[in-house]
Amino acid sequence: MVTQSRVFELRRELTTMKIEIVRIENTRLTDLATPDS
Amino acid sequence: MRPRLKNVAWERVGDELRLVYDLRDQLILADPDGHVEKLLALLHEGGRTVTQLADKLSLPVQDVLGAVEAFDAERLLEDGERLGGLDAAEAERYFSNLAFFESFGTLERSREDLQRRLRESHVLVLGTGGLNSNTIPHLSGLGVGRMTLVDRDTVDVRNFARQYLYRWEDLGARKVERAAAWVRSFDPAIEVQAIDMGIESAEQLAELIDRTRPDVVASGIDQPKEIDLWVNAACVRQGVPFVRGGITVTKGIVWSVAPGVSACRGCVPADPTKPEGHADPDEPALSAEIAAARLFFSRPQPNRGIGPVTGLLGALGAFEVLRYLTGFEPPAYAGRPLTIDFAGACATSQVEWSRNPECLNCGGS
Repeated sequence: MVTQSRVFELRRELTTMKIEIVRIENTRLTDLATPDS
Repeated sequence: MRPRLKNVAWERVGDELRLVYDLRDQLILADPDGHVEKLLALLHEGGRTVTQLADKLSLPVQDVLGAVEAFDAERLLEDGERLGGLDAAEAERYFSNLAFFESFGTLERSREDLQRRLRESHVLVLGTGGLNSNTIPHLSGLGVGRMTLVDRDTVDVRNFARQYLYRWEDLGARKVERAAAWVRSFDPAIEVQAIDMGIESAEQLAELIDRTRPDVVASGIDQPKEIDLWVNAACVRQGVPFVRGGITVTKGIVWSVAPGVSACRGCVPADPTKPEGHADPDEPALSAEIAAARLFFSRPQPNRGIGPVTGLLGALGAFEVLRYLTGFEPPAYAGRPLTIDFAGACATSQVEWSRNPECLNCGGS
């Protein structure tokens, strides 16, 4: 169960499929990656 | 000590004086009997000790001293005995630096003291690529007296997106040699040494720091992925601050470590893709982020640094180096990474690293 804040949600009922997109913000680990310089 | 008023303008408004130095604010001083304005006028002329000021105004020395201390607390004064030490050519070369530093000058340290600290300083620059090819010109313009540049690459056509130290005719040349040549041609007064090598371990870097004795390390190397831990371990061990900046897709970051003062990179989890190192890796939100990091790094990632991005990060890194070298302000990012949202109007945020008392590098000290 993902509990981070949802910053975006999208739903589309298409003829052959259903599209549901939830964007969840990663806030706790992104600063720990070795950044490109 | 001979207090001198900075470039302050004032006017009388009834029984008060309105003073302006920096347009960001104004000072209102009560002066019903005119003593304060007379003191300001004498301080504007400069050249007098507190005792001489008191004599001139026929006021008690303690009163004048108290007023001078109050003005100094508002950073309105410098010590004239700490000014005038630069020759005319130096004053011209550093004209804008000195004008900037005036804002931060006090009776204890003048604008020239701050410039002198830069001239006497030494920065070890790790990597002359995207980040530091934008930091090096700023350090040069500031008048850092000595730089040791380290890089192991050659100039590549991909560098031209963001590395403006290099020219088309430099393609294939050793980067560190070209970067050093740029510094020498920009300002021959800067002592610059080029070391053509990579950083392979914390121990190797610690030895380099021990040998070159820099005041600050500007770290702009991004390979291998352990590099930041190596730089951190070596700098903390040697007690030398370091500054690091970079970009991950659309987020920029700048941080520094002040050994013995701030948390260090070793205080926080080493690898965002691995659960170990986290006290609570099974916590759902964190577990999801670890999974996302693992997925992200499962794909090869190109360097997305375009010129405006690395230019901004390089400038912020140089600004942090300036804070360490001069102390004009405390380090702004020590154990408190600044992140910049390049997908969101360059909005910035800062989150403080927690000190880890069991940190293998600094022990939380």
